[in-house]
Amino acid sequence: MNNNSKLLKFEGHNYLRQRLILATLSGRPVRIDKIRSDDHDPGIREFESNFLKLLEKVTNGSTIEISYTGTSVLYKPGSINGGRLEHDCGTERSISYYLEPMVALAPFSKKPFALTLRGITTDAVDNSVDIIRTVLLPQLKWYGIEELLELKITKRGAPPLGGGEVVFNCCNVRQLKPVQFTDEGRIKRVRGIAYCTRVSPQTANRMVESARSLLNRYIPDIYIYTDVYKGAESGKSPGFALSLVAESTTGALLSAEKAAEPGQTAEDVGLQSAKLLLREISKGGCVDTASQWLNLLFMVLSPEDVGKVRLGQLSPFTIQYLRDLKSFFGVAYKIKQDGETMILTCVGIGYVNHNKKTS
Amino acid sequence: LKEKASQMFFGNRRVNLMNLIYDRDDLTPEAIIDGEYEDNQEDEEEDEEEEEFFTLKRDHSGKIKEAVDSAREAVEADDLDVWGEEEMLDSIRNRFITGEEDD
Repeated sequence: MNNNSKLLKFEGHNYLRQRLILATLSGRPVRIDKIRSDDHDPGIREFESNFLKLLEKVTNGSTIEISYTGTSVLYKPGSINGGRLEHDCGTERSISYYLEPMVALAPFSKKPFALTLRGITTDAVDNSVDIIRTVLLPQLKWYGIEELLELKITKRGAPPLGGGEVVFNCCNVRQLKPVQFTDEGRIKRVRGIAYCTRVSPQTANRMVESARSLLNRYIPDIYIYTDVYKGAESGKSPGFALSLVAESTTGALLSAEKAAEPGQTAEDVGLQSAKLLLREISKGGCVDTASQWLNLLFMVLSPEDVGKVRLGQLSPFTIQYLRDLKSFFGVAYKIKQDGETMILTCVGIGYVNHNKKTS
Repeated sequence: LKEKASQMFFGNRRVNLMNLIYDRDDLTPEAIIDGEYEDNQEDEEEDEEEEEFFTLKRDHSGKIKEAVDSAREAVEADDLDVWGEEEMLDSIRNRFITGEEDD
């Protein structure tokens, strides 16, 4: 953590979330200018300022200055505090938009996270809370983050009105464990969650049937849980979605999901999510597209040892993440093409959470 | 910009992915990904399908600058059609424990 005080500057509203999170972890102040300055409605959006509010809640001593026009943000990070908190995520973006970055912060906080978030649990833009629960969180265990780790979906909330609620618990650690994961293995089973709220409960079964029609040709071990919510737990809007996770013999988790958009039938959603899963599997790699960023981040923060991971095709989001990781931590990955996939290697910076005493 | 990226990929891709990501700040992440398609195209017929397959939603809308801040990749429903074809479906059979062992 050298150059601690040096201000980093960025332009544009893209990738705002990750820059704020990396600033928080690295302790470097960041200034983001020209946020939609050419737009007819300039400045940061409500969901972005809402995210800043959440960031202020989980940290201690942060200062956030937003210019009068909203087109530039100056963020001086404080320490990550954590603890028992609640936040309303609004309905512009889903809960995951807020939760994903919190998953990255939680292990390095002073107090264990017990975060209650309200809003939309699944939408067609972000990864759903199901994917965070079944794919992102299990991966934290590779890095030695295991205690208390839980995401409880107490209420579902579909767009546009939301009304969902999740509770995220996570312990804090002093240091991560280094990870080397290059054997992708082969897919041994597929698990999934078909959820529906405020529609016929049969919808969930229909999604499962159509997904199975495509996936059964590969493997018999498919279990898709149908999750039908009733009454107060089902949020304010009707909705349904299917999330699928393929698990390999070496523990790699590859995920895909599809949330219903207006006009889509249960069969459409089921079949599309199955196709998305096959697409994800065809890319190869030990880590799926949705969780590339988290693994790359944690490998940088790992003890001073070699971190290694095999990835399939990089997404644009991941590429920008690699660039931002270098800006904040000065760590560049070595990328080596290996057959159809690639191996990314880096040496961790040995990040230590000083708030956590060794036991 | 896209063409430039793809040309770079045609040359020596293996060395270049790192350079593209870390040294070419003028390239957007989307442009780097697009460059990769072109590279794949010359390999095989199968990759040609892939090319169409990985086209991003934002390219269609022509709004590359307004990237959605989401870890999930946006995929068009049309791009998934290839996964209805037998040939494509058979191509990943070896990724499952039930498939043939050889790669």
